[in-house]
Amino acid sequence: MSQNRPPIGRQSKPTFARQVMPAVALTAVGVGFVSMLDGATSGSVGLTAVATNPVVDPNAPTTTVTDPNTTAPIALPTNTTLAPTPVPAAVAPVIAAPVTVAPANPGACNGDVVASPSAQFQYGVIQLQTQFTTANVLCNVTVLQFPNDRRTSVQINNYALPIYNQEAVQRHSAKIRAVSGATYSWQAYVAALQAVLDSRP
Amino acid sequence: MPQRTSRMPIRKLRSPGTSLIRDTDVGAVIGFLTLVVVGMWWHHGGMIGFGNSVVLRMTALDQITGLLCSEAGLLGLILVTRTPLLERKYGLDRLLNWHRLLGVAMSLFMILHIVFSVWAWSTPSGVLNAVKSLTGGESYMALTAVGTLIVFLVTLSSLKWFRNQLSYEMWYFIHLTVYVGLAMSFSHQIVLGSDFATDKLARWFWVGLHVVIISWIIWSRWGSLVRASMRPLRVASVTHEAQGVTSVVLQGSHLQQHRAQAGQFYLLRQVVRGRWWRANPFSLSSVPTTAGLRFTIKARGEASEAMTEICVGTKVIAEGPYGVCTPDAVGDKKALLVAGGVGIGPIVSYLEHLKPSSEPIVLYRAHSDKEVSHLEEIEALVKERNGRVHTLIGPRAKLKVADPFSPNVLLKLIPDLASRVVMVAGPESMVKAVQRGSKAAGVPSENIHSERAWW
Repeated sequence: MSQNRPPIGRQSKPTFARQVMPAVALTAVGVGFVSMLDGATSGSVGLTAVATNPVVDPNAPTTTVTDPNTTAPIALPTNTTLAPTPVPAAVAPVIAAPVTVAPANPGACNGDVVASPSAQFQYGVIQLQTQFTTANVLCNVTVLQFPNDRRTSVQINNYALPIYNQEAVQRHSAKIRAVSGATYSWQAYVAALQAVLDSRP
Repeated sequence: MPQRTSRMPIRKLRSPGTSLIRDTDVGAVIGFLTLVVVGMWWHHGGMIGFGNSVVLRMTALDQITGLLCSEAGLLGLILVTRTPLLERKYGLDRLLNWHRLLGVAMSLFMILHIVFSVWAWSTPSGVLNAVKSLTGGESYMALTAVGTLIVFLVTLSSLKWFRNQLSYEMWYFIHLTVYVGLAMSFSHQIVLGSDFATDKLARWFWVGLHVVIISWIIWSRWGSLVRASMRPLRVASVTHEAQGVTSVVLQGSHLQQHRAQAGQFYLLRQVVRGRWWRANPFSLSSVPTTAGLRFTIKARGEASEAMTEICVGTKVIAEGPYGVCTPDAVGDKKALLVAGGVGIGPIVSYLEHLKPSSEPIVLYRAHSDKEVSHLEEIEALVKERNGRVHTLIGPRAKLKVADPFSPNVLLKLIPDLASRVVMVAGPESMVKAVQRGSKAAGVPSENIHSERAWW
């Protein structure tokens, strides 16, 4: 009886290389893949800082408000539409980010102030005001408008939006995590912020 | 023994051969998937703010438990492809057992994922509102909630206690709905899972992984069924062996190309109205040859009873062979073969395959004389190989010793036990007793082989 393969269950002892190579190769592929993903750029700073200067300071050095009208409407996650409404910088921010980046150099956050288009979603509108450093890095986000016609909306947004502000500032991007319970706001928030970031040089 | 029916010379079927896969490869794949899943979560900032607030902590935990839940599910699905790569290495029974364990792991991660999610969601607005959003408020969560319920019920139905309460048909159809449940729950991972909703590369990787594994299952399972259906076998003879025990010989011209080995089993499907859709496992009870495959079947349940009443000429679709417990394990050593009840089937096939140098000793345990089958055949085979047969017949209470497989009893009967390869087939309790006894008598555990006794 000819057998061109070893019988079931009887394998020759594998060489060391045969045992280790698949693990090494797959680990390399895995690490490579993970590093290609969008990362949290700020590393692991944590949300510890409770900064004192939350709002766009009226006495701050002159700011330019860039009109985001020029931004073409973009495709958005479910049920969110962007209305490119320019909002004057005079509108009082409703919710402020309690974090300013790089507290060691507080003068850094004094670049352009940009209002986002209004992101419309099923519970209302979210509009942001962003500020950039002179090096064009996102350094402050405040919320100009958010849905406040219902008690639940107010409750959820009062809770979640500051966290989004913090995360956006920490990561200098719109790649922020959704806070449980505030996913729609998150989608609109990300859309508004991304629109601003896209409009920046 | 199978009768010669064709003019072709009768020969043993070729062995299916072993898999190229190694334990380390399996470890590497599991490690890779875990690395990617945990790495993705970490790289996306899963741990940012972990220590700062309950919500962020719970969000982090609900994300990672959700991802691990999916990972366990995907690994479990790879096992049901029954890919020969894994089957020829570990055997179908072990794959299915791991599948069950992964199912349990998946459910545990799922429960944790739900607990953490509700906890995280409930911080601003209370548990009730959290549950409300998680079962309908958030996009796709209504779908996910139903899907989760289905997956949970499927896992529950496969726990031993519930499984025993259900008929096979009922269990089988409940089990199939798991695909619906998984598809329904998949939606929320992509739409709400912050690892996938914002990262295109991660999303495509995740969707791709699911698509590949599901296609693999369809390809592998349907492919195996289609191949088997294209080469159906027919019942050539049905022999009454003992009370409730029948042997059935299947033949077909396709057996020439077939590969199988003594000790393996097949999933047999009678092509008869009302039965064609279900396949049940049966062990070979003789060395498979081109003249036919013999199965010894005991009527223990509805399915095996139907098999013992099968008519000559019935078309049977045989998927397989499966199983890795074969007499090749004996090699050049001597053998001890232990059979319990209908476990005698595979033992006969082992015996037939063994070389004379193996001087096999057969222990045959049965509850009554009426159940004993193939005894003359065994005696003849053993005689050719300078071995001997011991029978242990009678209800447990009537045996002279409390445990016939205790090391003392075994050693008294077989002084050279420690140098033998032990192969057991029979009910689980007996298999365990033999494993325990022979280990205590000095048989190294790599020389003890057992496979679950099929019908």
